[in-house]
Amino acid sequence: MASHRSATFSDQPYSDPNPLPSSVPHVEELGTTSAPLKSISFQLGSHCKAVNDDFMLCKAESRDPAKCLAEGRKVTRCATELINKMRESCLSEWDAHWQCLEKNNQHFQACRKLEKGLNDCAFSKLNLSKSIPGSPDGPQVHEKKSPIFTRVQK
Amino acid sequence: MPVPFEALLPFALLTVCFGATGTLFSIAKRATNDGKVGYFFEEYEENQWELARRRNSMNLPPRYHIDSWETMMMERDRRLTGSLRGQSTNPTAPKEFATNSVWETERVH
Repeated sequence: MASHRSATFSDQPYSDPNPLPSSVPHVEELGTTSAPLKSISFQLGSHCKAVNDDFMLCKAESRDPAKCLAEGRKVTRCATELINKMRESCLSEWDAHWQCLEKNNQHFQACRKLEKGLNDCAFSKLNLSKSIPGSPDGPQVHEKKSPIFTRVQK
Repeated sequence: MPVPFEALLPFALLTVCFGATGTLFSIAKRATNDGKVGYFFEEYEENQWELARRRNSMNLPPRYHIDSWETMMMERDRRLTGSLRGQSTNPTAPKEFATNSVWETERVH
């Protein structure tokens, strides 16, 4: 086409140094990374179910980031609260589990023993249990005595 | 009857070659950074080639079957900790996290 222009790519990545406008209330962003988050994902899901559902429904209405900022702030605050509670009550079990996940490509099936310790601690101290929505009848896959899918043979 | 060792030399050669490759490969993996990140958030001053060279491989098995969700989470981990495999349980992010997200852009003018 006559209006074609060639692409010009920069060798430096672009990041916008401007902070959010001051009209947006400030919330401390969550500093937890992927493995610890995956480790307590189901506890987060049950503790913050209401605010998470609100946010997802808001996103389903509109993908515009500006529309769901308030719900997003609530999600961040709820998650931060749960992370703080986990750190003070179950830190050693949580650390053991997410470090095991990191060594196993973040597969849950490789770390069931440590996951049991973490789930027991979270249930006794924080009253949060892990249950997978949409599971068929019978024991949940993380509670099965002899599951079909386990870790690869080392 | 004595063992015909000349006939077995090629097998020994192959074994030595495989062994040497494996040893050198694991030395190279171990020699790269032990998971310690010597710097935080200075990465945007540097050339992308420098950045790629310094990307540290910790003494962890590599991630595989990485889909776009995992890529996004690993990029977030890099913004939080400086390394694609760095992990932390801090409840609050460092200050730089608010503005260090990378946008894929193209200069138009």
